[in-house]
Amino acid sequence: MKERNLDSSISQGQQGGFKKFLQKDLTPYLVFLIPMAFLCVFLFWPLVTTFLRAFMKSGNKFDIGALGVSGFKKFFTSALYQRSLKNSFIVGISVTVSSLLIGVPMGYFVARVKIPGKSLLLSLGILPVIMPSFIGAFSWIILLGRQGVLRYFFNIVLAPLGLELPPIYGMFGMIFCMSLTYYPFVFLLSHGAFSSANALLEDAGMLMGASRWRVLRTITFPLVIPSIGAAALLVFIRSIGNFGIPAIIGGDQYVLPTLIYFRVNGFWDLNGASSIAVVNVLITGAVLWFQKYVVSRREYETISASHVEIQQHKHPVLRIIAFLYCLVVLLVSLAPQIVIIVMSFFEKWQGLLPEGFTLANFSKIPKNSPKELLNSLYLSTVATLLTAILGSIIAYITERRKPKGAGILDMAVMAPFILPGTVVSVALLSAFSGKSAIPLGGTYTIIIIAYMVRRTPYVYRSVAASLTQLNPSLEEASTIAGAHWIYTFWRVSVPLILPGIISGSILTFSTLLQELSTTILLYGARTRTVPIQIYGAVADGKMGEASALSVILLIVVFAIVYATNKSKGRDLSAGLKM
Amino acid sequence: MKKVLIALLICTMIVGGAFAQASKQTRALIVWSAAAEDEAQALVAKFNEKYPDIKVSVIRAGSGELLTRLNAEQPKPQGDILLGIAKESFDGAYDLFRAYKSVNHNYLGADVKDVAAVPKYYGFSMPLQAFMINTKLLKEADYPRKWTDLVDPKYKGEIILANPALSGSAYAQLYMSYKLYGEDFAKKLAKAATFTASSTVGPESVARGEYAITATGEGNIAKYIGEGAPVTYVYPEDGTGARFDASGIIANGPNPRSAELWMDFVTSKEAYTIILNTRNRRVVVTDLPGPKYLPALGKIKLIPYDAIEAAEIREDLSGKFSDWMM
Repeated sequence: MKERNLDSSISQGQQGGFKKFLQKDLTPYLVFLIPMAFLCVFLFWPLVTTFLRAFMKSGNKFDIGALGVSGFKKFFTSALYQRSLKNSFIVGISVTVSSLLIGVPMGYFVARVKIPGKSLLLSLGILPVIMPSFIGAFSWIILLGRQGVLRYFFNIVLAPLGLELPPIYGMFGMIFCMSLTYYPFVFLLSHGAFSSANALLEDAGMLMGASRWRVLRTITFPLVIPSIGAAALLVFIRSIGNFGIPAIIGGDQYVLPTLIYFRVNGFWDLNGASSIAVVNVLITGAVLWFQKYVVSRREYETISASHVEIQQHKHPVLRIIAFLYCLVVLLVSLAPQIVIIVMSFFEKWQGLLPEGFTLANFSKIPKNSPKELLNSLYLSTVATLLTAILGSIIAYITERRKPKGAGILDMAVMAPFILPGTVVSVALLSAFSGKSAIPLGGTYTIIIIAYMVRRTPYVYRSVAASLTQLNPSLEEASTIAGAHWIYTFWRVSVPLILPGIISGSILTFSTLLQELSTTILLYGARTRTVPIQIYGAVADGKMGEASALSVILLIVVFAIVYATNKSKGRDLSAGLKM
Repeated sequence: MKKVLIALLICTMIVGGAFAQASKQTRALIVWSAAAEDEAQALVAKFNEKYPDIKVSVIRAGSGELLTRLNAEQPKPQGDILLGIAKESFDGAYDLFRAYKSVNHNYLGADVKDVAAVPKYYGFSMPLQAFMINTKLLKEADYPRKWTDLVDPKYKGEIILANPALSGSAYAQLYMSYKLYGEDFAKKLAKAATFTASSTVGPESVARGEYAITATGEGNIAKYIGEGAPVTYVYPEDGTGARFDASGIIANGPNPRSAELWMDFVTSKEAYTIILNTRNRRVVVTDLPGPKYLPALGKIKLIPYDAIEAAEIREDLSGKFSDWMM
């Protein structure tokens, strides 16, 4: 450093300036340049076209000449639009609150209370998110609809009391099903935070004579706020973007995604859909800002140099409560997955009970879907690995370097996650197919890019939250000791934020395996995936086949997540020893 | 974990590469299909008996997605044929299709193909709309018989329909009854039923007994009857619209010659026999019988369906209709 300053002060003028530039360590810029270039080409393009489309006349013509606000007028004139907007708000907020109420205690119990089978609990805890659209929501109808099997038995029990369980349709049903689908985000992220929070601080609190509850309330809980905030944000975005559950359980209660679906599938009106999508983005932007405000009011430090084994509660009553709580939540939230597994062994389930036991749904798979299975695995794996790299680097830039415009970058990364898959895919398709300079139509590449653009937020959010928890002093120490920038990043930062990267990647992989809305517009004959098969089977009324394919996806996700959780403990402690 | 992932990645790449092996089929054809999976596969198999050198790939999606794709991939779309989407949709995107006179041109009646001398589309099937009724929930004497019966208060909470903003067939139901009985009826209908946002939910719900009545394409009813679900059909006595689905050649597709061969094939009697038998669809030619489980055309009252007017007022009518639901 000193030499360089000396050097530049000696040689002044143009030449010296250039030399100084060359002598500067350029690697960070190069490392950052690649993701930035990727973002510019593949992320900003869909965003800009979507934004422009929102101001165009209804239809699907991309006409830059005639901009206006007609697409937004309906929010002021149409009762349907206003009602849907209101419903979206109610659903988004209620689902977020109830997911927090379910997920945070569960995360705490699994991280801090000595209970058996933690890897298993963690791995099962991700499965509720794996709900292939339509079939997942439909399984709630099979359980709690008018002819629902659970409702039937509940009503037998309740009959002597003169009570009757109403069918699940409507607002309450939507919130109920979505909370049980999305609480895993909270569970996983808060578990990560609780298990990496600095135990020394808590010990200090205890030594000072604070009660357990006081330590939890004033030390532990504030420490994990960034992760819980990130999880709440993900839940909110996912729940106001969900189409399948409102379509099947909501009945007449429409939400914004319903309207977008109508615009695209009923009227081929991409511009109208974009207007609704932009409103959706604005709402999310407001929530994102609120989340940042809450998190950034204080400083956080939870991961520190010396890793102390976190003390686990061993009180028998607490252990029983914690274990029972996790068990009940898992059992209830996995009910649709259980239905799917049962249904996969039957021909149909049209009455109270399934009919026609068969193994044919499974035995068809090796013949009908080997290519689709491989494609799904390949596309999801590649996209997840690339997303993990991209998301971590962007999070590192926005959180550590804090460049000007970090807020815009933040929003830009989040936006494709909020935009409906159809809108993002159409923007990519029109840019990179036909006579485009970079023709990608029908290739694996275009699907991987679309997956990356839409799923980066999982890793990004999760890593950004970990970085807020991580005191930069460790990185500074490494730099002062003379380590190269890359060495510091690779050997100090990455191992410390590894839990964040892993939980983000698991969410990415699991949700990509069942991705439909983007894939259906981008897939070619070579690149068919399992969700496309499931979609076809549901549309053709073959629920058994659709279920069997979903079961395969469930098994794959469970196996991979379980393997990760089993080995995570080892990997982590190895990373922290250094 | 990382090692596992990398190993997995390499494995999938190797196996994936095996799929890229060169095949003996020299020509290609890409069919974008809104028809069901097994239907498209049966057609492809028959087509390959005639033209074993053409490798046919099928892209399956809903008609909304296929049209979105078609528009997005202009000016050089990656598909050759659009199979089994509503005639109105062909009219709506007329410029994006290529005219071609099939060798079976005269086999099809004038009312089931494009009116132009060299048509851009030929009829595929006739998705007549009918009431689907759960026989466990309703006694025969209580079945609705006419469109006007749907607003009878005794069916309150028993009717599920797809939202007209959702799909062509759901809108067709609204347009038919609107043409017959006008706006007052439509306002009552909007209040009388539950309007779902998913087109598969209506028939599935009636088959399960979640609701007693829906209106849907007759092919769906035949399918559930065939599966043994407790359902039956009622064709409205006041008439159902004579609509048809069609197939046509996508303009500027990659394989124009194979596309023409496909159009010749898909308008032949053997193709219509497959369409009739795989999915119980009513086909557009007169020398084949009606579909299994469903009545012959002579027993159904048809009313003319003005697809052009229907398309013109669609935005307005379905928009108003949505607001009447509130």
